[in-house]
Amino acid sequence: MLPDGAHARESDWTMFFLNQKAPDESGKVAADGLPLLYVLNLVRTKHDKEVRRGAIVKAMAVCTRHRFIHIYQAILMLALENYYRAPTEDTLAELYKSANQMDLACMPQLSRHETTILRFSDDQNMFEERFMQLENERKLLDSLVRDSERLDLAQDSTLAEITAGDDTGAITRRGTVSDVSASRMRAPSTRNKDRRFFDTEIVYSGVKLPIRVPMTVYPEEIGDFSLIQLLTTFGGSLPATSGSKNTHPHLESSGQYTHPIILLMNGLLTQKRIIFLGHGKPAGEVANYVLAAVALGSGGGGVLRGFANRAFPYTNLTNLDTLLSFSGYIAGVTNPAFEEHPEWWDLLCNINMGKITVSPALLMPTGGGSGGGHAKSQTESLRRSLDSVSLSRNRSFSSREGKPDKWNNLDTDFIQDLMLAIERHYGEVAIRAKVENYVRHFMSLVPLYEYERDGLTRLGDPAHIAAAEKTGVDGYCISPGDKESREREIGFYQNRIEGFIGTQAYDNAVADYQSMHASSFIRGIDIAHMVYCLRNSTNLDVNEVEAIYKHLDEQVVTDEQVTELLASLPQSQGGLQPLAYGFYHPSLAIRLYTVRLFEKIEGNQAGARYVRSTNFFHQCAFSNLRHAFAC
Amino acid sequence: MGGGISKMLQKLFGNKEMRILMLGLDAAGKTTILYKLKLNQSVTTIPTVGFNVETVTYKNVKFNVWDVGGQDKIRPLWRHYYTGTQALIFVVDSADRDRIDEARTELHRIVSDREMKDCLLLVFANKQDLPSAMTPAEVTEKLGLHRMRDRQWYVHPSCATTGEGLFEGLSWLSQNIKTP
Repeated sequence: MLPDGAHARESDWTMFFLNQKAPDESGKVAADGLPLLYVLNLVRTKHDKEVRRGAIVKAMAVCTRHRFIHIYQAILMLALENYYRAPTEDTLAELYKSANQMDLACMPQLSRHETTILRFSDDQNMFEERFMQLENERKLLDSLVRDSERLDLAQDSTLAEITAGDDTGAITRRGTVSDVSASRMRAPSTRNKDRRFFDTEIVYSGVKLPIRVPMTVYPEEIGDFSLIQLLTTFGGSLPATSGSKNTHPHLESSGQYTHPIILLMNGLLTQKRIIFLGHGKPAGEVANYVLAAVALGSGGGGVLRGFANRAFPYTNLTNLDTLLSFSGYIAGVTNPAFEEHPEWWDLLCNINMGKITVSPALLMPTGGGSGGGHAKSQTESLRRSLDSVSLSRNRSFSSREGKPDKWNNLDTDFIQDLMLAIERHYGEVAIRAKVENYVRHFMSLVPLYEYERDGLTRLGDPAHIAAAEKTGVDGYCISPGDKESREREIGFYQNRIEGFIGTQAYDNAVADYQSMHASSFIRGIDIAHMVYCLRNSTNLDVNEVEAIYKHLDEQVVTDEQVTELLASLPQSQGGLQPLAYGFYHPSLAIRLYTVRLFEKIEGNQAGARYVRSTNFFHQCAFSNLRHAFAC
Repeated sequence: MGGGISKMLQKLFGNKEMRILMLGLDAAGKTTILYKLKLNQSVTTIPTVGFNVETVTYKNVKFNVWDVGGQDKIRPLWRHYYTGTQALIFVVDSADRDRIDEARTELHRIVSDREMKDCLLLVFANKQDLPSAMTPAEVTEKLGLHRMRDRQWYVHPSCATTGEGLFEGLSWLSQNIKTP
């Protein structure tokens, strides 16, 4: 696909995905099928007075399963340049061959939990041992191969000596030269590397292109986008107001004053049709906004799935029919004609103006309000009556809870924290982590809401929720204060949750919960929630704390279980800090549980690094208590 | 309220805005016309991928001109630009006798669309500098414009590279624009 305006710029990048599954008549997306393929496309326009109409436009694309698709930029540029000189199939074949010969054999396959640990690690050598192991194996294999080659060579040379004595010397000499250079290359690669990347190379027509493969990408992180750019572009604008005066409950969760980022977040989570319009901008730039939005909705790329399936990083009118066959999409365009067709989208994010607009043609959710079905051809009087309906609805909510201001703060805190972090130049990973926590927290409310409404949920264990009603420890709520705040949150997010239920991301979350439930190493307790309580709750009583530590000590035994626990304690958020406070608890039992837990953690490769990186006083406390209990 | 007042002022001082769609076969000279109007320069153009859009102010009328690529493969996309269009500028390569029939077919297809039923039609019989160029009368006849009864149309000879005839076309549009 050629991007609009390709005639006006020298080169541009577009991106699109293959194997995207359009929803069927019932709006559901098939769970099985081919995995997504990611396509990076480079377009170049070369002016040439000799040719008819003055220019040659060519495009070339790389299609891959790798989500870190930006690593192919350099090779694509070289290959397209070659294609201008030799527009033949051979040029393509050479690109194909080179790209596929990229050596990833020494790249360790990290599990989901390990990826999380490495991603948020201060220690860039977190899984050094895993890399070393593979590299050593490779060295051993290489030396074996070399030995056998030498053996072959020796045999050959004895044969060759009989026929032509001079040639053989050259062969062996050449062999040794390359050996030396190879070992010199490999030597520095084993020390002090940032193991969050795997360094390799692609050799293309004699040029060595260094490649850094990121090791810590989440499932819905594609390419090299900037979430910070998305947040700063749209975060600074005034609260966006929709064309119509009535607010859409899914989108404008705080009425007219909904923060634009929250508006976008609501649109993503409730699967609306979202367009990023960057008139006059390169397609590649617009595509990055879409990829960032995918990461925003999916919780930094790591909590929810299904956003990439409906993302069209760059698209234009040629693809309109496909686009509109999706009930919700996230698309990047440069053509302002989209702005003039509000029936094509629900939210329009104008990159140049940093403004988000709700489509005046957007229908009210069915069942959610009394205005469904009329929105498109509303007369002024209808609009006014709708206004009063939504107003009275708002009022009834606030009277139920009695604290409308407090509601606002739930999202306001998040936004303020996010914007402050960006102002202080926090990195992409830190910002994505904040979004991840926010979405994770939202997801912890969904099963509670479902259980409260229907008495059942497929996103959590009803037994836990039922236990929580009696302020049990193993469930979702621990102390009564905790329960109260959860209820308030559910009340606040009710519309968003209702809009979220039934979306593709929701269905995927259900499937993931079931499979995670089957495959997770820690059973019977909600680790994330316990960590959340230890970190955030202020008024836990002794029994509750003891129960938490007891559960952790009992349930976390094996190496895999320790890894899973560590994954929920990212180093960037203090690592073992929340657990370490157990060393200083007045209760002897809690201190004992803590020591036992730390001993198990220390036995894990990554865990040992975690323990070493804790505060000196915690380490002292650990060794002191350990001796005390040993005696 | 404020909107009403500014609308009244606009009417008083005649600051009109007009959305114009410029279509035609590939290599008819649409982009050259657009940039001649905008920059008063003759730029060398290459086939348009997608569209160009520029604002040209002439005689107190702000013309919002959309120039959409004319290659046959992307002609089906023209219809997406119809919404809100007040005038169509159809550009014809007057020297291209071979494809004047093709141009006529495309033109009739465009104006028969429901969304285009009220819009003005200006035809530029372009490339009048070429020796074999058809006269405006010939273009009118070949495009079958006399059969269009319910529409205001106007054919004007032009030469995009020198700019001859372009502003005359615009002034016909500004005189005939319907104030909503």
